[in-house]
Amino acid sequence: MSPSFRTESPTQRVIHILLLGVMALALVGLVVGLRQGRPAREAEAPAVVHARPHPTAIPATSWAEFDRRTDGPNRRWPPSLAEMRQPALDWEAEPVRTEAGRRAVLAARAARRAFDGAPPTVPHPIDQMSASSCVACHAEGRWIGEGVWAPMMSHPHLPSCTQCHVPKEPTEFEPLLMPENSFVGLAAPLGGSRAWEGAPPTVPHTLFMRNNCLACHGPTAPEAIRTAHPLRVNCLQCHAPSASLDPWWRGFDESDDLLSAVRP
Amino acid sequence: MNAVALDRREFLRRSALTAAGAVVAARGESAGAFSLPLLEQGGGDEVVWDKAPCRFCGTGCHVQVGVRDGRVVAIAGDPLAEVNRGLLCVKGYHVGKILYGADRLTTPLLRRGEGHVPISWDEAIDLMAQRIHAAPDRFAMYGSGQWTIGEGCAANKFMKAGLGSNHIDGNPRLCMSSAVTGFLSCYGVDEPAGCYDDLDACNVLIMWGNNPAEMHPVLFSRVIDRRARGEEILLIDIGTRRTRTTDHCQEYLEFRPQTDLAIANGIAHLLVKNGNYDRDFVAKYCNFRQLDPGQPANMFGKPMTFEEYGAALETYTPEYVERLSGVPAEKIRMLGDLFGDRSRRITSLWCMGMNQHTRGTAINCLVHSIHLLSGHFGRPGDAPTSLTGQPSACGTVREVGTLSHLLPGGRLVANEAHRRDCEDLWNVPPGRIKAAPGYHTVLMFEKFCTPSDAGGDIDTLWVQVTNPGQTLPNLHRLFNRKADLEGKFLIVSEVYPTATTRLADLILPSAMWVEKNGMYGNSERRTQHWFKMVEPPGDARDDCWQTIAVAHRLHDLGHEGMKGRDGEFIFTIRDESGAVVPIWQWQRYYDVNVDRHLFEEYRRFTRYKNKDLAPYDEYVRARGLRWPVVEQTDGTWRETRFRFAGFDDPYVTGGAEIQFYHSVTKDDRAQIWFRPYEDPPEMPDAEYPFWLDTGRVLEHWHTGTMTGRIPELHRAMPRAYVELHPDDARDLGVQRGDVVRIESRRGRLDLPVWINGRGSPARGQVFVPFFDETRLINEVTLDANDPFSRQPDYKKCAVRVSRVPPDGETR
Repeated sequence: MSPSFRTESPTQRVIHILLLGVMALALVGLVVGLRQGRPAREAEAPAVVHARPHPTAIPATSWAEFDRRTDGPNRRWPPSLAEMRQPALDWEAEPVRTEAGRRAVLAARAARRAFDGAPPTVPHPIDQMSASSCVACHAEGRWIGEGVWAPMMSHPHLPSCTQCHVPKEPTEFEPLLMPENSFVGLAAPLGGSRAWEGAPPTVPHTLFMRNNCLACHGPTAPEAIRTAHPLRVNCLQCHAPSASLDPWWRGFDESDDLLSAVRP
Repeated sequence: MNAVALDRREFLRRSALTAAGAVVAARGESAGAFSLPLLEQGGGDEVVWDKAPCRFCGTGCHVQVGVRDGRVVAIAGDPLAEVNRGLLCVKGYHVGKILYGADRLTTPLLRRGEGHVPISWDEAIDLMAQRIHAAPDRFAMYGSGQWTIGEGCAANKFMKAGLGSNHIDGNPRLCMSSAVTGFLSCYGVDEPAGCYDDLDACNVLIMWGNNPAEMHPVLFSRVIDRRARGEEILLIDIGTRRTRTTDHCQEYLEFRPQTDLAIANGIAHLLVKNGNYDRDFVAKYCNFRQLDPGQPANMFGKPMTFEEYGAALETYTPEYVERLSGVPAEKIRMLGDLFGDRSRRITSLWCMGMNQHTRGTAINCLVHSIHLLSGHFGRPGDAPTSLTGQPSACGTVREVGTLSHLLPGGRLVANEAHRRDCEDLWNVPPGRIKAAPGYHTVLMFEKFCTPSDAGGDIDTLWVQVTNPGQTLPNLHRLFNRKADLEGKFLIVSEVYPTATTRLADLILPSAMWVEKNGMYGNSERRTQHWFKMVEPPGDARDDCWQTIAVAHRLHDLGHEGMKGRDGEFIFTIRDESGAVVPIWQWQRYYDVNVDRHLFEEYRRFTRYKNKDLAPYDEYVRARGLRWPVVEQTDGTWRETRFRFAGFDDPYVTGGAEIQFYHSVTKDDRAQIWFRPYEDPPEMPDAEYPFWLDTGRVLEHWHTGTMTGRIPELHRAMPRAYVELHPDDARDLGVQRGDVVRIESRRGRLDLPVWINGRGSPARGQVFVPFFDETRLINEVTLDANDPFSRQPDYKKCAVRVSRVPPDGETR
């Protein structure tokens, strides 16, 4: 890239490119017109609507060139992450939590898991080589479009995303028959138990690798599983977890030897 | 729990079962097949959990297996396991599904014409015994690094101490045997000195032709998670192809195939020339060694002096190495400076890149040698560590000795004292074990695929727990040819139909993983245990029982080898009252814990090379123990993390800092080797201008027999493809998704192109994964192998690549 080119402002550059394009098109039109001669009979011209490129648009990469691009899908393509509009969160709104809503949320959750506790599959294509594009949206959680929420990681210290999460839809190759498998996974519970009406519900799932309750129950969560009090951050103060759900505790019930083996 | 809730739960479970069983969905319509049934609150309480090592790779993660109503319903990473600390990879999280593929083999099947017909177990066992009895010398057994330790012990004893035949080999021959010869050449004893704890302590991690982000993801995340916590670790990928591992590395040194030897020599050259090798370590603990031109087949070579060593390395200047390898000289200097800095903690990892190599023994020796020369050995974080691909390649094959030249506990078939020792421990008459090593894998299949009257002296072959019809190199020559031969009989013990059962004459349905008791031994010398948790489907039975049942039928036929010194059947097991338990009858097999008996017998073999194992019950309690496991004065058993290091290894004597107590030179020293770079046997030329590299992907484990039955994994990685460099693709006129033909001198295969997808090879190279049983890349690969380890090279051969027109022939 020459230094003079670098001093050019983006707007100037686009104008230059557009002008060049118009001139080239005119020239091509002239040559084609001259070579075709005048048609014997006037055909009815089809109605063509020419879309005018937005002055800041970056030309799309052609499919043939796609493989040769070295930048990731989010580096230069607008809207950039920073430009994705994020609605203001209401930390004090009282969520409307219904049984039907809870079932719908859990059904959606179950659709991406082989059993309760399995890492969810990824419902969109991914960058096969790099985990940084995962983190771009999922580190903090982000609205990526109308009503589409990219959930926050509940274990941000684990950076090898594709180790555990595989894409659900292959995008590269032709459709295939799926293998038939009769495995029936352990189901997710509909909710924690309450000692009595008004008591705080217990935690119905393992806490292992879930370091941030607000990732799933915070102000961005679906209403049916959203907490009414996100500002009370010491969740386990009131909501008791269950040792029977936590893999850490399994194996301790047989003998105390194990305890000494892992806690010297 | 009240009755109504239980009924509803049962109803939900059944309806979900019916739905899942009926679904064979095409892509995009399959949400139903994946959906979980919803459960009322409090679910999961009735699930019974137990521990097991994961069924897949050699990392040896522990999983917790949740069982309800006799079926596996959930898996969790085991936080009590030191290997994985609660984390798994995508294969491990879905391992429970391997039991429930719709096409599990459930009854013995005998070939009739083009197809197979069901027969009874009794008929199958009888058929096998009759055939073996008629010609025991023409029978061979081919096993696996997925054999449990008990299965390997039974098969090894059956062959070597029963039939008096050494024609038993295991698939680690294709996977680990160059690591074995490397360890033996340098230290006189197999398996890594370090362990996974090195990954927590190193501050430089060098991966030699290794992609742990996909192949050993839990170990890789153990390192990069440290970085996420703020620790500084330099990750260096020395490879031929950009991978997910590369994405996490600060340095990527791309080398031309085979020139890893030049790079290692370049590092040694700099250490000697700059004088920053570890003089003290070398003076106290090392000798120098080279091959003996007079005895080129002798793996242990002959001594050389330090001066001769330096002179041999003279030519390997950074500039010369750059010319050979393509790695810039400054990067070779960077590696030299890293190794020359003792304040660093350097761990090297490698797996198939260095092992599946016609110079596999040599490059293994060289990587050990630069660690020894620089003194990056024996401190936590300073370790040359080979990884294994299978869950018990170490435990069952390298330790139990189920290779054609090995006996249990690091003993050799060719050594008379070792044979006598084993005959005593197995309680069989002296002279029972033959002195000549049996056929190694490539030779075994060559003999099986050669007509009986043309020197093909293996006629009956029993394959257990592996899939050679997909994994052997040059399949047309080493496997497919069997289809046209008369008088050859292939027996395959399997769990699903595979590329191998296609040609089988007799298929035996096997129990798998938590359908049986078992023990595995992982990459870091850790022996692991699990108990049977669910019943196998239909008439599937344990591989170990199959071996013992055939042995007993031979005993009934009067085969003398099936009797020990005392005249008893070689697999005699007595109950507490002293009565013999007829374990060869399936109904009685689980009356005793056969695994415990076989393990306790095998354990007595393990002291000789200081690979001491603890009693069975210690493993029942532990999440695996790393050998040598030595009894303490208070009766507890202590594992060893750092072998040969005085601060940890109880077999180091006299307060030494380091002691190589199985030294080849009998002087407690390790051997630093010089091995020159040499060209591989087949290189790209005008006719076949591309390098072909083959390997694995994260989602599938080896040939996909198990992972291919898991919808989540199959959907993420549905079929084989070929990776091309974008410039090569442009020159060939192909784009992503176009089909190209990969063709070698041995075979050809049509595959879709994937550019800058999962990996990205260098120019002039192509990569194809081998998991896809419908597209066998091993029909194209080369069967040339390392002269010491007899391990083939799946990583480089010459191919040509051409565009297949859309209407052309496609497979």
